[in-house]
Amino acid sequence: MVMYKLFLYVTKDKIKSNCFHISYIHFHKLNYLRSICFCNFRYPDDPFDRIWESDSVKKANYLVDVAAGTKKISTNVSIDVRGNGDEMPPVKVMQTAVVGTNGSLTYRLNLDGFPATGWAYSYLAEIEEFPRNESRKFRLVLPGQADISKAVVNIEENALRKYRLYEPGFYNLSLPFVMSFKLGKTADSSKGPLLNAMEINRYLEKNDGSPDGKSPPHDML
Amino acid sequence: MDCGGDKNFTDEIGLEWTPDDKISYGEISTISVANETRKQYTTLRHFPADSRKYCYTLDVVTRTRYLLRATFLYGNFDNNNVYPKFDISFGATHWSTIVISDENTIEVRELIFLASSPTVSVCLSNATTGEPFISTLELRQFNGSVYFTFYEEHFYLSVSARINFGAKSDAPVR
Repeated sequence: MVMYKLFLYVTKDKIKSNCFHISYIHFHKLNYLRSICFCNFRYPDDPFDRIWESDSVKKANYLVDVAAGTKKISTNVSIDVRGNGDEMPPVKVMQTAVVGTNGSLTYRLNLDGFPATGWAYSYLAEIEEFPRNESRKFRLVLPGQADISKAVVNIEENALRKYRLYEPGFYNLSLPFVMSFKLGKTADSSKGPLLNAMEINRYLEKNDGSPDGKSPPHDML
Repeated sequence: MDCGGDKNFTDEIGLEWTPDDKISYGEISTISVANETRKQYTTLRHFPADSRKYCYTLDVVTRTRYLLRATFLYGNFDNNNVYPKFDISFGATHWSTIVISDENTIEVRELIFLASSPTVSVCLSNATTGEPFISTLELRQFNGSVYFTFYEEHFYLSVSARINFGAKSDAPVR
């Protein structure tokens, strides 16, 4: 039988008040002192302190041409944000969404830095309760990109259940500066489309040239 | 980092801010903007409108992905009322052109990168109007494969839109 004793000490960090050190002395095999430091600070909602802009903000060329019948919905049910992607959007962001009660959602916005190749993902979770004989299926429509509309999204089916993240998107997509998009319901869907969040990033090619003033003098070469 | 700040402080959501007092270039300005009481936005550092690049160097852990956020609140710091326009670069890579179009609106730029060296630099330069300035500079570490892309050795991701639909107010979630 293995016998060992463990002594634990918890001390507060002298500088960072929200950090603690756990020290322990372990008497199994060797006398042995180790220390672990952890901080209990969390950003308010996002694990990485990303900023998720509200769709209610009114400014020029930001989420205009909104389809009639667009409604905001929300839930208090917690969302499982460990879906098929890795980005882990905040639960609070996933608990709200817009739905297109007339069958479609449309938006137009200007994309800083575009036209360019980008990374564009939507964050979807079914947060509305409806009977089993109803369904929500829709397609993404981007002007000039017919291929994209072939895929049909059924959030609940793709995420395997309600209240769980499904993160469809494109890691290599050409987008214009003025982007219009539409989510349109399929003919056999009883519910209009739903959108919780989206993120669009531009690929910015690295310039590996030496920063100004850092190149070695010629006589060193 | 609180550009133009004078001491460490913790803000109302618990973020720790440190002043950029190790920087030997530029001048500090304090601004007053209606409805903006957050200390980190009430100070800024501005640089001469010349042909030089003015850089901040930040320590990072290599082979780790980060979110870098730079913010700019003009607040008419120079009593000039000419809105500044200048470039921000990440190392030698041109990142974005900052175009101020409102005295009281915070301009925000975010970049996602995989660190390939132990330091990175953020530089301001090339002012076509006004003087280059910066209010805050923030670095956040990602973990796991968050924002992994096949192109990350050669490309950064510059954030264009990150939108919370159905939001209950105008306030961002963070």
